[in-house]
Amino acid sequence: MKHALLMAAVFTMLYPVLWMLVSSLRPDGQIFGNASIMPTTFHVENYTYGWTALGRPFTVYLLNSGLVVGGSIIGNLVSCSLAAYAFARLRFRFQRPAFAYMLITIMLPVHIVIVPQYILWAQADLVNSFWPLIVPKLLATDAFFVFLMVQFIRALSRDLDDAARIDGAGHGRIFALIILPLMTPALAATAIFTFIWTWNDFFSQLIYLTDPQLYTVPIALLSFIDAQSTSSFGAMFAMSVVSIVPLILILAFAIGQKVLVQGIATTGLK
Amino acid sequence: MSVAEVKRLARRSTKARQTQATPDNRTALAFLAPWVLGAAALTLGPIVASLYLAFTDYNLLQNANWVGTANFERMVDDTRLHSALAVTFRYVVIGVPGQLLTALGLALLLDRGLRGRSIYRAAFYLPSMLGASVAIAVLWRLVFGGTGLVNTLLGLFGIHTTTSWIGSPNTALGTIILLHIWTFGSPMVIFLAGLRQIPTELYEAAATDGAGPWRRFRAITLPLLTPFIFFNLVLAMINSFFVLHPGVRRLGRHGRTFRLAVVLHALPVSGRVHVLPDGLCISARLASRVDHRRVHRGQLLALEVLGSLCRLTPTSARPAAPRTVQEPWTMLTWCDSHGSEAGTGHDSSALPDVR
Repeated sequence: MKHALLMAAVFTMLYPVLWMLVSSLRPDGQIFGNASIMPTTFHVENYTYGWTALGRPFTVYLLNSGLVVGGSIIGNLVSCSLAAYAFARLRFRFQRPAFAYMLITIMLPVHIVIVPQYILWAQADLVNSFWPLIVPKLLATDAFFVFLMVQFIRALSRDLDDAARIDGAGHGRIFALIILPLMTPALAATAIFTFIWTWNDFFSQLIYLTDPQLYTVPIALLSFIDAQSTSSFGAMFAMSVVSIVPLILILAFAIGQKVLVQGIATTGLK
Repeated sequence: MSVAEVKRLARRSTKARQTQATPDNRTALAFLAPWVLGAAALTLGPIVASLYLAFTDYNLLQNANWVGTANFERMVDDTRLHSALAVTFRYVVIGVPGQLLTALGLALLLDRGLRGRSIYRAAFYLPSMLGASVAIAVLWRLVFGGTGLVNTLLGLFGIHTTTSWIGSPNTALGTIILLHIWTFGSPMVIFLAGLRQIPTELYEAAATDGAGPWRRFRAITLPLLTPFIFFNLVLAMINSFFVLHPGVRRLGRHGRTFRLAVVLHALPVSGRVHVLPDGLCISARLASRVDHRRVHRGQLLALEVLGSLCRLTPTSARPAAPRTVQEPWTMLTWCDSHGSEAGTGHDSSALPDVR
């Protein structure tokens, strides 16, 4: 009974996505007015056509997105964990105002800072490169993750720190050898959420990347849709499917490793 | 030295550190260096710059001239802004509780020990991952379009209509709210984590005392889940006020003007609802008078996106044509229509509506 209810809910929720998947394998004429999600045709031409329709193969855009995502993940992991250690374990001047400011920036809408930031990058002549997308992560501007890690570190017992200190370890070694290994769940959650958010992020990528050679997946998908708007819905669906496959893989991985729930359950939500 | 001794020593050293208050200023600076640099150059600096630009007529190409509160006055007087705020408010007031109640309900259904629990969880979480992607924005438009999936399904039940749910002012906001509720997976995962921390003994004890399911929910689950509900509520409010959905984007090509229109026609940047930030952003009014011929073509796009976010009517612009229908205005569309000729910004989505 409960299973029937849950299955119905799952089906309703995923129905549009399944419809998109099946429609990506249909010739254009059969897409609209057809609500069935039984794959009857395998019109792979949608994929082969869509893959190359933009002049460059879609591989280029997937690689670009991969670069941006990879850089962002590394940046967030390094910079946010360093900052979090300082906030959670060290005592320093202006700690309270600095922490308060960090909390405020979690709620800072990007629209307030985007214009001056753009001017800054334009003056550094770095527009049309991946730097404006990666450097902010290297500088711990994703305050949400800093906060998440602070909460996590605060929950860790100080006994290990102190034992290490007695053995002569400084903050650098305590951080690298004790705290960092213990906060793996928080790091995993950060990596996964950074992946999702960066992969889906279209706003800053649209602003900073205008050279087609540098397009990431969302931007390529948009320009593809523009170019195809009247001709091929099938290919449009096909490329949309391609763009969400990495997300589904990550979800499968996260569920397999149980990192998502672990990370959330143990990061400051107590 | 026994373990207990080490611990005692350690505790003493902790205490000593706390009482002596020798700050680790240098170490802290080393650890915080990236964050400090980012805070100064990428957030605090730009905030101050935005604040200043809000009182000027800056447009990205020419120098800024101080205009006092003129930008704000214009903003306050604009009825479309009022409408945008009202729509955003409706979106938050309906969408956030709708999403959280769905999330809580399904989290409760996904009890411990239920078979296939992790599969359900993954399935429910999937939309949350996809919700912000361009692919889903496209899909949503086609599902709720004139000959989209929804109308096809209605046709199966004998209701034949070609209303575009996403195009009609009466239903457009509803479809966006539905999209928001659809992504209930992430609060649900947080609720599940919270439910896991409630000890089962409590329920057993309550059951032996004769408490029914509703009573157990009210007396045990709800109070113990409160921090999680609060966390979800705050997160959802922030997110839905700041939402900038890909649905919003679209640069239609009309003449030599690139214009921001809306794939999903309705909502989206509800984001800047706080009056002050709005003032900052919008009043910066960048690119309102960009001379398109002089700007590198590639940069035009970027300028226009920025500009559309930030511009007010150039003084020379014609007044916008009166609208026959009340569109579900949003901040972004408000900014946009201000900068473009007589408000066609909305209808010019690059994606043609599915006929």
